[in-house]
Amino acid sequence: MSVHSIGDQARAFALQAASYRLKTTLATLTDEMATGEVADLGQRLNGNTQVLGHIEARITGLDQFRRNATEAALIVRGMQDVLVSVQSDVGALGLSLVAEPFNETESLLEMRAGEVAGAFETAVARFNRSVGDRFLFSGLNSDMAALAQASEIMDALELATTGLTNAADIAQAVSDWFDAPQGAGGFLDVAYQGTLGQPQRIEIGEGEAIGLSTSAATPALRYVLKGLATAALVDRGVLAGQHQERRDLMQIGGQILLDNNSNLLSEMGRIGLGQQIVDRAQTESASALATLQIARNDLRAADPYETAGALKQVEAQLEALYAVTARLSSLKLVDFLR
Amino acid sequence: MSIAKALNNAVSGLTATARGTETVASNLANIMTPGYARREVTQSAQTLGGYGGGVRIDGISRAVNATLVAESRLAQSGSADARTRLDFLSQMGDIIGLPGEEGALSTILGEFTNALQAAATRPDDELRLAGVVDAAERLAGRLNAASGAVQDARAAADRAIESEVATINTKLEQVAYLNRRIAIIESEGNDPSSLLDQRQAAIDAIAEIVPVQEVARDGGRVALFTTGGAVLLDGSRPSRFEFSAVGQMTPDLSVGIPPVMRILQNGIELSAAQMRLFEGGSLAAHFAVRDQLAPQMQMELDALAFDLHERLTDAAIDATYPATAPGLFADGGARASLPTITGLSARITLNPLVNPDAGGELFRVRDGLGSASSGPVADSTLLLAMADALSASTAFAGGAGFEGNGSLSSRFSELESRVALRRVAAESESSVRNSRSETISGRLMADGVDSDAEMQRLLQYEQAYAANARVIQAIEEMMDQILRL
Repeated sequence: MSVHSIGDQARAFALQAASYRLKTTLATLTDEMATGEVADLGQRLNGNTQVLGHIEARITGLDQFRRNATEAALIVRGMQDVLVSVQSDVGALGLSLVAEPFNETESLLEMRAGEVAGAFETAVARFNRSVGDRFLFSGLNSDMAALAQASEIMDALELATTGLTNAADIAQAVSDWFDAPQGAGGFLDVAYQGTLGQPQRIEIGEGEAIGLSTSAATPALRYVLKGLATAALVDRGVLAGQHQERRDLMQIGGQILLDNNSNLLSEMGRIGLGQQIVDRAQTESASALATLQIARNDLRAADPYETAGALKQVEAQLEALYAVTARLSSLKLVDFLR
Repeated sequence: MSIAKALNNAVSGLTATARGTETVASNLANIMTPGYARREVTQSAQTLGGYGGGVRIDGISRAVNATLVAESRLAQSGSADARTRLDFLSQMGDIIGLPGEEGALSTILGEFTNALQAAATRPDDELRLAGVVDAAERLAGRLNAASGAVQDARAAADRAIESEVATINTKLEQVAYLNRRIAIIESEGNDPSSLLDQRQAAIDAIAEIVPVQEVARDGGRVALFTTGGAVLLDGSRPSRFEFSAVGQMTPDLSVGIPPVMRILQNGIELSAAQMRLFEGGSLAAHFAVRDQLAPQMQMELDALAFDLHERLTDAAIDATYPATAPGLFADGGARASLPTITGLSARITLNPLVNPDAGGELFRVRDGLGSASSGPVADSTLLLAMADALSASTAFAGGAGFEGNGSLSSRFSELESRVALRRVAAESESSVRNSRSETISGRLMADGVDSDAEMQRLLQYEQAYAANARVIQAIEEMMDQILRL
């Protein structure tokens, strides 16, 4: 008669296999508990990681767009700040130039001419402003100031108006100089150092971009300079001795400024619109980012409650296994044969 | 003379119990030996001329369940097969990475796209242009590294085949030798059990590599075949297998083109159809890695590298550069083409024209590869066009099963997904095979030495010994009585 017996190795093997399995589970669970993410993402998604891939790609993309938008906002804000201050300077100045003060003396005129010349210098300096080393109004040549020195511009204008003897001719010459096309030796060649045409585009959201098209050569900005320069020529001593003509010239300059005011305002409006677009894109990106991050966490995160529960269970199993191992190891016939 | 007979009986009883305790001792000594089959003494009553002549020891039997052993071997080869494939696929999973992981292929691509966008926001910033160049270089480097890892895995599989073939040869020699020894010992009427154990261990070692079937032949010999039917050992001389590893693998090396070879059996190289006879163990799995899984991976990487290259080589993006020249990425200095796509991911490099370390100029990233001097510094057109080209949904010409329209990042995530899917499938396959193999091992071990049973038997032998000794003592007393008369 053959009696079935169970080999000692079988029991040892079973115990070892069980403890190996439990310890692997334990390691996985502790890892998940510590990181808060599932240990084997591929297994969790059943190999279909494409959805997660798209989400991750969009998250990194949106992150970058958000940084872009922040920078774009900075630049656009800088532009708007410049235009606001230029507009407030020029608006009041234009009015005061056009209005004919009663019984104006020569010295008063000189003083006001000096004021205009100062305002021209300030406007040039403002258009030459940079944000974080990026010059704002020079088109694509953002590493160069938009305009040449104010004195250089005035020198060029003085040269262009030599020999002219009345205010109307001088104003026309100045206007021609400012409006001259590229290559004709006018504003675009002498004063403006930036580029024309294609503006820089910054992508600020998915499929959203703004163009930084405002430059010192934009008519609204250029006419500010034209108006100020026309009046400032008086300070350079043109039409010396002709009090009435000098007054007229200043008045023409003031008129240009006043006429341009609405253009300047609409340019500011355009930039304001850009600011709004950037703001909206930032909000959109932020909300999309939040949604995507929630979706990503849904895919990646290990539920801490579930993990803790499983951990507790494994702990109990392991304890039971140890207890059984201890019991079984003392259950040997050899120990009783004494 | 009945008393003399009684004495004879008692002595044979003593011998049998001595032999019994010997087997018990041997069993207990080998209680931890893997592959040791429990021994049992088989005995029968001896008759001499119609009268009881004591006990006869018929021999020592090995308690082994042949069916279970065969099953265990098949399970072993199955699990070795699955494990080898899984090892490779997990390795590939680690190299390609998962979405969002640091250093994953798609993450590096995302960093490159972001670098382009960041540079487009401030194209005048040299640091950002350097960032683009750096990110592009890392992307190319990552593709190179992935391709390198694939080829390393192929080379490793090749070397593994060589060492496994060597193992098969030695083990077959051992089995053939043991066959002869066992036949001799059996014919002498001795106990060959320990040699049987050795032979079983040798066959087990072969079973890891190829699934074997053991067929009993006369004289205690065995013949070995693969389950597919190839002859490993039949008769006195085993089949001779040869294989030499290539060493360094490159993407253009493939099976059938020397030096990449299949196994030589007795000097003749096996055909693809004959190789099928060896399927089912780690050997076939290594061949699958070398000739199918890894080349497929290489093909997919090449396809992605080609897609990356093509998207940035479009003349519509960069008009400053001849249409025949490579774009931001180059195939070792030249333009990549579809017919020579194999191994592109190993060769793809950053165009040296933009790499300051290689004598290039950073501004070309912004102004075009063909531009001689820096243009307007805030021109973001080219940078944005490159970013758009990467995210544009286009049809794919590179093959490797990538179908339909998609952006580059969607193709990268498709590859990640494919790799993850393969690994997960291999993992579940492997765990099924493992648990099967575990169950069978458990059953095999249950047939092994049980110390309790051995102790019980020892007690029985002790009692039997004492009883037989008592008989002898009684006979002695009886003889004394007679002699004193």
